[in-house]
Amino acid sequence: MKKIIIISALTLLLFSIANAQMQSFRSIALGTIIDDDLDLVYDPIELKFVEGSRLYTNLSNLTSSNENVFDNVTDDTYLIGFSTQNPFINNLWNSILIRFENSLTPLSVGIDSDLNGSNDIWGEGTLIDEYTSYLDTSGNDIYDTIRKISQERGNFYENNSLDFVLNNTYDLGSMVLGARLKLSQDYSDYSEDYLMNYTRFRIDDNYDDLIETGFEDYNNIHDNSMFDILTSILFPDVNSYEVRGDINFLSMNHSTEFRYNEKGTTNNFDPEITDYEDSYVEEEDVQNLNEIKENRFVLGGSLRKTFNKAAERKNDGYWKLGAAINFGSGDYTNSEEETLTSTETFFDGLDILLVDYVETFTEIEKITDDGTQKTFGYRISGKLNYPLDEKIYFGIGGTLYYDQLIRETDYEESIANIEDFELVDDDSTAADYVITETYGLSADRTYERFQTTLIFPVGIEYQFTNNGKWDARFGTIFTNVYTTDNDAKQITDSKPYVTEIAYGDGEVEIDTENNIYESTSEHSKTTTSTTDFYYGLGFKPTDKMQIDLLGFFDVDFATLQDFIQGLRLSFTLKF
Amino acid sequence: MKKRLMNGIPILVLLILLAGCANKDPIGIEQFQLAFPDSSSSPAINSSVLTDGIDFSIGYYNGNIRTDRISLEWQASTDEEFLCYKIFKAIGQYEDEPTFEHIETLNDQGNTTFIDSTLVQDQYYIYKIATIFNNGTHITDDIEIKTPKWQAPGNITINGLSTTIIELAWEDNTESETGFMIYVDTLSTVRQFVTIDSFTTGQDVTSWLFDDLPTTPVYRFSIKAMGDWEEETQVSESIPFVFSDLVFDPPDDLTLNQESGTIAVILNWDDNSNLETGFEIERKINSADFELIVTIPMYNTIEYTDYDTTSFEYGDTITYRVRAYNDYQAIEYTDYSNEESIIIVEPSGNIITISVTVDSYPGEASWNLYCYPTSSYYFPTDQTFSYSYENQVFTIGLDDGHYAVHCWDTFGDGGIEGIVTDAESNILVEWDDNDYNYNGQFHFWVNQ
Repeated sequence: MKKIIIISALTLLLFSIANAQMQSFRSIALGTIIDDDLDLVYDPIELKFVEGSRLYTNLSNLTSSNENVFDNVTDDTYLIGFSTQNPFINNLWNSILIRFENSLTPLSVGIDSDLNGSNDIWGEGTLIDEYTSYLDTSGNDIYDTIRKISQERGNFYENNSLDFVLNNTYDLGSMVLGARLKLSQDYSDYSEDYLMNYTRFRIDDNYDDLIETGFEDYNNIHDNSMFDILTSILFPDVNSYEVRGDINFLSMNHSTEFRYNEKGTTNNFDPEITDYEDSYVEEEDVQNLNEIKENRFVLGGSLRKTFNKAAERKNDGYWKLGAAINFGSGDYTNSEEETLTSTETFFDGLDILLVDYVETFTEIEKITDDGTQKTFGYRISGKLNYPLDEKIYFGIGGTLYYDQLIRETDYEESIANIEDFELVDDDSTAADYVITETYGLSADRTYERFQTTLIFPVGIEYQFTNNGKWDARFGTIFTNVYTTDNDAKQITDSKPYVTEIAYGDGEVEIDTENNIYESTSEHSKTTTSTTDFYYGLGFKPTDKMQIDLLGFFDVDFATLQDFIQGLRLSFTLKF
Repeated sequence: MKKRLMNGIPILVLLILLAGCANKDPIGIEQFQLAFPDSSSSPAINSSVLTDGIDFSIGYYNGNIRTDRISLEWQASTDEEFLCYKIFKAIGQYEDEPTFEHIETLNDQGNTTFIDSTLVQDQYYIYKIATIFNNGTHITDDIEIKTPKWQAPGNITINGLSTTIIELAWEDNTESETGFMIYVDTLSTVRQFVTIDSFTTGQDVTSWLFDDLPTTPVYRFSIKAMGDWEEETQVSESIPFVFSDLVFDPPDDLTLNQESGTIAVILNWDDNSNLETGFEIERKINSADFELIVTIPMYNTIEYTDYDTTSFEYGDTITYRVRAYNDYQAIEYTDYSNEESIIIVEPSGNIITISVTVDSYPGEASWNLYCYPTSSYYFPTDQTFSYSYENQVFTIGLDDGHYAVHCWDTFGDGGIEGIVTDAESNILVEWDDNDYNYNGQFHFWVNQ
C-alpha cells in the first residue's frame, strides 16, 4: 500500500488541476492544491457534494484577496454569492455569484481662462468658465476691445465591471449533470473633452473682428467581455472511482481603443470691407484600435479515486487525474489611423488680383494589421489530497499546460496627403497647384507563441488545537514557464514615398524617393522558474461561520495597530 | 495489468511533455524583390517617323524634327501600376554615358506624345523615355536625333559660262529645305535694287543657270532656303554683277624658265579672261611646227611646268604659246599669247633620269624623290597622276650621294613601276608596280 501511495504521489507530481477562477483563502494558503467549499460550489459537479448552504459577501474578500477589513482597504465592488440545495426541486443544487463595480471618477482639470497659454483656474470633473474682459489696447484710457471667452473642460475616469456566475447541478441518481454559466464584462474609459468659443469685439466699430472655436474629445477605452458555459457529467461511481467529462465553450472579446478628435476654427473680419474673409478650419482625428475576438472549445475529463471518505468532501483523501484539450479561433485587428484636414480661405474683398486663395490640406496616415488567430492547447494534471492523520492534511500535485497561438495578419502602411492651393480667379495657372504624397507597404505578418507551463503545488494543513477549530496552513507553488515567441514580417509589396505636384497650367512634377524596406523575423525564448510560499490560518468559531486569514506577516508593521490593519480576513457563513 | 498501467502513465506524460517543450524555430522569411516590368511594358519610341537609323531626313520632312523642336511619340503603358512617364534629354553626342537632364513628367497614361520646343539647329540630342511604376521601378527607351542645319545659303558666286550665260552657285547650309527661292534684282534708276524675277529650285540644288537675261542691267541675286516646317532662312545676296564684266581676251606676258637642276621648262602668263574653261599650251622644238602638248581644263590657270622633256637635247630652242578656251556650248578660243623661246642648257650635277608609269588607278598613286644628302624631298609636293598608265619622265641633276624614290598607294596594292638611269643609261634602280603595297622605297646611289 505504501508503495502504491509513493508511486501515485510521484505520478501526481506531474499532474494537477488549476482553474483560473475565484479561489478560497484556504486554497490560496495551501498552494491551490487543497480546496475549500468556495472552490467546490462553483464547480458544476462538486456543488452537489457541499452539504448545506453557503453565503459569501464582501466580507469574504474574494475579489482580489487583498482587502483589509480593519483598514477599510477595499476593491470597491459589491459581491454576493450563495449556494444551496434547491428547496423546490429535489436533487438540484444551485449557486450564484454576482460581483459588480460602477464608478465614475472626476479628475483634475484646468482652464486657461484668458487664452494666454497657461491654466489659471482648476477644478475636478467638469469646469465651465465664462470670461469677459474690457480692454484699452491703444492706451488712451478708453476701452476699445471686449474679449468674451466661454470654455468647458471635462475629465473623468469611468470603470464598470460585472461578473455573474450561475451554477447548477442535478443528480439523476445514476449520474450527475452540471452546467455553469459565467458572464464577465469589464469596461473602463478615461475621457477628456473641451469646448471653447472666443469672440473679440471692437467697441468703436461695433464689430466682432475675430471669432474662434475649439473642440476636443479624447477617450481611452478598455472593454473586455467573456461568455463562458461549462457542462459536466459525472458517471456512476464504480469502486469509489469517479469518471467525469467536461465541455466548455468560451467567447472572449478584448479591445483597447484610443480616440482623439479635435476641431478648431478661426475667423477674422474687417469692419471696413463687407466681403472680407480670412478663416482657418482644422480638424484632427486619431483612432487606434486593438481588438481580439475569440471563440474557444475545451474538452476535458478526469478520474478520481476517493480512498478516505471524510465528513466533508473538501477533506476527503483522494487522488485525481485530469486532462483537457482546447481549440480556438478568432479575429485580430490592430489599426492606427490619423486624419488631419484644414482649410484656409482668404479673400481681401477688394478684387486685388493674386491675393485671394483657398488652401486645403488632407493628411491620412494608416497602419492596419488585420487577420485571424488560432489557439491550441492541452492540460494534463494530477493531485493527491491525503490526510496523514486526524490533524494533518497534505496535498501535492502537478499540472502541465501547453498553449500555442498562431496569428496571421495582413500588415498595411499607407500615407495619402493632399494639399490643394488655388488662387481665386478665373484662370488656372502655375500658381495653382495640388500636391499629392503617397506611400504604401504591405506585408504578411505572422506571430506565434508557444508556451509550456509546469506547476507543482504542495500544501499542508495542521489543526493545532485539540478542539479542531484552528488550522495552520502552509503552501508552495513551483512554476516553470518555457515560452517561445516568433514574430515575422514578410514584405509583399512596397511603394516608395511619391510626391506629385500638378500645377494649374498642366505641368506635373513627380518625385520618387528611394524604396527601402526590410523583412524581419524575431525569435525569442524565455524560461522562468519561480517558487512562491503561502500561509494562512483558518478558524471556525461556530458551525455557522468560518474565518480565514491569509499572509498576515506579508505587510510591514511597526505597531500592533499596523499589524491588525494589515490583516486579510475572509468570512464564510454556513447554514 | 494495473501495475503496467501505472508504469506506462509516467512515460506517456513524459512524451507529451517533451512534445510540448519542443524547440520552435524562427519563422523563415525571404528577400522581397520589386517586380521590374518586362520589355513588353517598354515605352518604345516610334523611331520610324524620325530616322532610318542613320539619316534624320524622315523626321525633317514630316515635321517631327525641326530646328527648334522635336515631336516624340511612344507606346502607351497598359500596366495597372503605372505612375508616370518621365522624359530626359542629353545634349550632344557621347562616347560614354550621356548626361541626362529631366525635362518633363506626364501622369496621363494615355498621353504618349511630347514636343520639346527648346532645341537649337544642327545639334545632336538623346532622349530617354522612362515609364515609372508605383513601386518606383521603371523601364526606358532611348533615341538619338539631330536637328537640321538651317542657315542662309552662303558663298554665292556668279560664274560666266559665256558672254550671255551665267551660272549662279551657292553653298547649301540647310538640311531640311524643300527648295531655294532665287530673286533676280536689277538696279533701278534711283540706285536701288528691285526684284524683277524669282525662281524656285528643288531641294539640295546649289546652282542655277541664267541664259536669257538682258546683258545691260546691273544685277544682284538673292537666295533663301524654304521648308515646309521652318521659317524661311535669311536672304543671302550676291555682289552686283554686270555682263560687261565678262571678258574673253588672250593671255599675254608669257615667260619661260628652265627648272633648276632639270631640263623642265616653267611657263608663266597673265590670264586676261574670266570666261575661259581652261588653257591650251603648244610647243615647238627648234624649227619644228607648234604642237599641242597639254590642255589644262581649269580656269584662272597662270602657270605650267613642262616635264615632258624626253625629246629635249641640250642646246635645243623650245618655243611655247598659250591660248584660253571656252567649251560651254561650242568650243571657242582666244587668240594666242605672245610666243616665247628658251634654250635648254645642261643642269649642274649628275644627270639622272627617273621614269615612272602608273597603272590603271592613277588616283591612288603618288611619288617623290628623297635626298639623303639634304634629308628632304626633291619635289616640294608629291607627284600625282592624271590618267591611267601615265608615264612621267624627269631628267634632273643630282649631287653625289644616297637617294630613294618613294612610292605610295592609298589602296595598298602598289601601282607605280619605274626605272632610274644615269647619263650613260646605266640602271641605278628598277621596280615593278606590285613590288610594294602602301609604301615602296627604291634606293640608288649616285657616283658611289
